Amino acid sequence: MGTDLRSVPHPSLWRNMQARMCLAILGGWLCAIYTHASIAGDTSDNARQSLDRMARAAQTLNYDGTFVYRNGSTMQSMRIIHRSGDEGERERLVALSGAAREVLRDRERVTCILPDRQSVVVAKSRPRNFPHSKLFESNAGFARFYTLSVHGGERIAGRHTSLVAVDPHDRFRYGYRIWMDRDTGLLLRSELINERGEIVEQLVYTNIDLPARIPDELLEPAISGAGYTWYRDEEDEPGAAATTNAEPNWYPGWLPDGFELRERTHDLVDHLVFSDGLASVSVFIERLDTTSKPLDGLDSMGALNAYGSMVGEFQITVVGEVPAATVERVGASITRR
Amino acid sequence: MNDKLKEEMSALVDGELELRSTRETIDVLLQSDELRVHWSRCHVVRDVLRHKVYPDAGDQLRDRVRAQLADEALHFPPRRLMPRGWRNTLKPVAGLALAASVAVVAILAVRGPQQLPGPPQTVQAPATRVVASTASTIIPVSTTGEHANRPGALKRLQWSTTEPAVANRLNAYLLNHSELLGGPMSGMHPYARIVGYDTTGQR
Repeated sequence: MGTDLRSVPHPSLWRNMQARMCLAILGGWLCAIYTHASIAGDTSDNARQSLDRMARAAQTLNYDGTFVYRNGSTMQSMRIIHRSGDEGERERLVALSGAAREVLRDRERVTCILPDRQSVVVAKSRPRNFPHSKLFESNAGFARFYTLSVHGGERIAGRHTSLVAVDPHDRFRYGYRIWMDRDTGLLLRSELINERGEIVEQLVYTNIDLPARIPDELLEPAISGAGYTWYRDEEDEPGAAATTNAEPNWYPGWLPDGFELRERTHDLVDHLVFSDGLASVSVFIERLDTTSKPLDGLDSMGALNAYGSMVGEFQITVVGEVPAATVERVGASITRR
Repeated sequence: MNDKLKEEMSALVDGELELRSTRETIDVLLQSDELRVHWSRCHVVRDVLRHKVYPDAGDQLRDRVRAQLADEALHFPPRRLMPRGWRNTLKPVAGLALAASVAVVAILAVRGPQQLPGPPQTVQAPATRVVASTASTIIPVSTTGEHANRPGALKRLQWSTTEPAVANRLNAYLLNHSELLGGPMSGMHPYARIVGYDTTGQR
């Protein structure tokens, strides 16, 4: 059986066809890469903007909602009432199941009412405008450590949502799934996901209202019980900071990429805060007397991990919503400068 | 709504649903107005059964708390101005740490009855250490009632440590950490961890 030479291209024509095919494939690849990069960048930008919008909505809107919160094995239903106005933010968080605890917060103080302990604790509130890191302001920086993507969300509390997925690039931080209201940007559901892909903390609204006006009565405490012990913060009283506990010269030798020092306060306890814009760890240095029990090693509570060690008479403790390996490595690297 | 779903809903309210079923049940809950109503009823029923509903909370107590809060404001001096520059948006948290120490004692301390010495007016043993170390900054404004030292109201530790002092310290740190960083960017409400502290052990 002979070969039909008419069906075989001439060698030069064949080479020409191969070259054209290679060019076509290469062009296709380049187009695909460019398109993918554009879409990814666009998606990531959208995700970043959505998160920013969510943060602003939580601070600037009036809302009254009920949500279920789960951390580890704990499940609680809570109601949150938030008002934003000329007097700043006012907020009331109430436990709907279990002990009827309440936390009331305004721009001056945080009041924790704890009927199960017959106690009230009053402390100064801190501004909610904790500055986001440069990472969060710059998509390129943020993209070094997280992949952000926006997806169609489900219907939650009767409202349509968008889902922002935040996946870390390393094992030193958690991932996030955040559902936010398409109309207002308010957070309606969130999940914190550990390095093994398990949900370690979860919040989901069952209903939420956005009233134009929230009366003062809804922001007042409604507690019950016979007697309470009141505690208050007097940090500004004369002599309050007289007993300095640790010299502010401690610093970790290792931090996950992108973590920056965000704040350092030095009083009875030296407190350093590091964050990449989403994940954060706090480092506490406290002088312990010889009778106090130190934390030695790892501990955890739901999504939170802690690592403690003693250096001389100082207890070094690292706490954060990051994997155990992160707090351990940060804690083990802390030295006195 | 079938009985199985009702049972799951009740288990969810009680925090007894297995972890893997929780998400599925919440998903179902979100899709149904009827289930959400049932969900609310479950809470009411449970609270009534546990005597957690206080219909006689009364205006008197509310007024007293309100008055105390109003009075509390008098104790706060004007806020200090921070230095200019990038740190000017940052505030010290040490004061909160101190309050946290007491709050933790109040909220979260785990101890047995044998560790509850003293008269009702006395802050409990773990608190004594904390308060002593921060005596200049935290004071009990008032102590009333025999319930102030009621033992066993919270018997379940969240931290795995069996040392109450260590747990107290960790929880004080948690309060500081939460107040500073638990804003909306984290996807969680800052005080949900405090309000939602694990009470599954206290039935």
